[in-house]
Amino acid sequence: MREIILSVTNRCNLRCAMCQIPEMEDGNEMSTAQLKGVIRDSLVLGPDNVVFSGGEPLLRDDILELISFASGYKINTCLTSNGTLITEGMARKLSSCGIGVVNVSIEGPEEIHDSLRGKGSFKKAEEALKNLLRNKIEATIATVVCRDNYQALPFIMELAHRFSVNTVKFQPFSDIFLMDKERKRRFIFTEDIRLESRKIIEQVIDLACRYKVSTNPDSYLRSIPDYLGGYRQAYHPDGCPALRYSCPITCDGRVLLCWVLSDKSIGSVKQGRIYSLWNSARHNRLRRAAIKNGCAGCLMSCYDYNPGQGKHRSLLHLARKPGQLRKPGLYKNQYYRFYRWLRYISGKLTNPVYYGLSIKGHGHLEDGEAGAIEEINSAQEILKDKIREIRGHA
Amino acid sequence: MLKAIIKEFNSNLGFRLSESTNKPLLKPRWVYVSLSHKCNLNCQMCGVRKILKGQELDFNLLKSIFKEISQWGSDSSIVLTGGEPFLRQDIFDIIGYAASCGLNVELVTNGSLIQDYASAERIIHSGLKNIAVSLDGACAKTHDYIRGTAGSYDKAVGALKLLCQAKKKIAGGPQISSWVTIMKENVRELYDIIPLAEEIGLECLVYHPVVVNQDDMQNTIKAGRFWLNKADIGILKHNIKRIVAYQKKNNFVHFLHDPYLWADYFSGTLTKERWRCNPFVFIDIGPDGYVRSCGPAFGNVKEMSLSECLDTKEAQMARERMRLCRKPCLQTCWAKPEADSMDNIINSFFSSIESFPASDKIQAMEEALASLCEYKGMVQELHS
Repeated sequence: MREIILSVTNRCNLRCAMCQIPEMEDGNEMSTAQLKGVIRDSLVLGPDNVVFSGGEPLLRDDILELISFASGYKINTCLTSNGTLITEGMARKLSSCGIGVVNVSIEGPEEIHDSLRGKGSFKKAEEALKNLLRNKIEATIATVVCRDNYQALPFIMELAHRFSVNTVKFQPFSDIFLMDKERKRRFIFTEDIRLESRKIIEQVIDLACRYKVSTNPDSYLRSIPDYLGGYRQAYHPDGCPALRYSCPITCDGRVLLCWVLSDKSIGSVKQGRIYSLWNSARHNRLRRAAIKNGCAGCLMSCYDYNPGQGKHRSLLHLARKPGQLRKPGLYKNQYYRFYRWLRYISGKLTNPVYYGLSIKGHGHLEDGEAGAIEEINSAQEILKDKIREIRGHA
Repeated sequence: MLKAIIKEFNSNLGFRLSESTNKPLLKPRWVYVSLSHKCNLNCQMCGVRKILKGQELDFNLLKSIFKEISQWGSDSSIVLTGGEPFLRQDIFDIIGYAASCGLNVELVTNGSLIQDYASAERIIHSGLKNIAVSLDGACAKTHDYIRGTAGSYDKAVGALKLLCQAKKKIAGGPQISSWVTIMKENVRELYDIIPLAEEIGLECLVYHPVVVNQDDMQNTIKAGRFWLNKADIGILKHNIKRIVAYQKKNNFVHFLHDPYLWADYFSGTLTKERWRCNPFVFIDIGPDGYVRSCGPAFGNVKEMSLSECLDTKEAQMARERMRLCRKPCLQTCWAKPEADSMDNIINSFFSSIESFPASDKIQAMEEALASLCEYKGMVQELHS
């Protein structure tokens, strides 16, 4: 397990257009002791990262206590926030309890951000970034890419550069946090936008290189337009690594397979221990079923592993230097190592429909055009032989 | 006869080489042009009138498209479709221009706007090569239910009768045909359409199964709605037997492919081995100008020419996707199984010319050699 994602509350002080979590029923929020128990139990599984998510996690009174508890075990902690509550004082407190990374959601320039997240939220998020950086906390910008803000992606990179934020995480819009699924029509791309946004994505990659800001792997970014245009579904042809390394837990304690497959719960941490649930037979069975046929594929950021300040990140940062190879080599190696292992443990897992979509010719020929010429030559030989034969008879 | 054999050899060869290089060496046989999505009926299996409302292909754009297709030098047909094409004011100008370019122009309509003899006569004289009126049942009840509009059956049958009547007066004119969509509602009446067609005097009757998951229909049809269940498939098989028996005597019923595949298609046992999509034979130009054959669009004719659209990276990706598609939909775009490999193409060519005299054989083979040389030139150009 790499990271454990704890949704500590469903409450939120904003009502964003692309998220209806605050309107969902929250059951019973876990108590401080229960959450601490989950973090302590998960130590056996060796997570690198604990993500406090929500809702707005800062609405919990005991959040600072939880953060200091987790960082006491030398686990990297990460907080996902909309930034409205991170004042100077809060930033200082967060710094003192040893937080690793704070994700602040920014969707674009003020008007776009405010139209999606509510009036005045952009100013507060900007303020939050300043406060965090002033207190030497690593802040990252998280952006949900949708129809409203696809043109503003270069602006986000500029913003990151201006504030000297080191990491920007993009994630395409997904309807999993919407109860009213009809609403998603507003966010997905039309055909024109799909083609237009490709150019914007290239701009973003260029800017990331120039400003030395690390973002998601290039291949991930490039597949966003197709994904939101409704064409490409699966980013991972061989099954999703998130099933093996990220563990989402809802605020009422249910352990999920992943956020998308939220109808399948493995069990509740209120009843069982997380280490036994994580390796239980039921979990393994559901994982295997999900990899084989239960999942249409998504582009959630669980793929994208953000380890915070550490050797991984500095390596990534190096790879972003202009003039160097821009392939996300580090990510690729991680993925491939994971695939090999996954294939090893669960037999052959391939989804040929999306796997290896090559634009080269194929038709059982290994080398498109050269093979075709060979075929034509042999066909000509056969025909000529046949003509000679018939003429001989005559 | 010999010509047909050579033509088939050419198309098989073109498909084989196009597929192995993933380049459009074979020009599309059918170019469907959706003039607009406007329609006066509300058919249950079709959702196009709900999307791309108010978009239309401009007449000048259509002119340039037709001109380009006429320069290909292939036997491509233009199929004017929609929506309902006759809702456009300039439809006769469009047909006239396309016909003057020397193209085969076909048209698909629901027949509801052909209600007097004068308009039927105008259509007959317009230069169309084929007009297809959709007929979905042998009685008014079924047809009107499927089409979502009362009285549409009488209008369709009336239109067909008027067209046949007008065609008798002149030599030539368009082939008058009817297309039947096989679905749950009309599976019991499939055979009963034949006497009706005889009574009208149709020249061609085509059956094709309903499509549930067609990307360009934007999945507006709910899966399972028109789908045949087990009992219906039994009825379908029975009807296929009767239709096949009839077809042996009278060849005005046309099959696009082996009709027994329909039963497998509906029961979900149709495999890729028995059915091959042919991404090179069919393209569709939407009212917004986007070109696709199945699934994602290749490019827009408003920005580039049609042949450029067929050669974009998107086109190559889409064709690759079609090749890997596991849900055959039994429409017009398909390849013969013998186009699978060059050996099979040659063998089937030999077996079909077996019965001809030696001089004809040599002539056919020399023509085949010539077309091989032609394709070789094209492939070599690509290679370099």
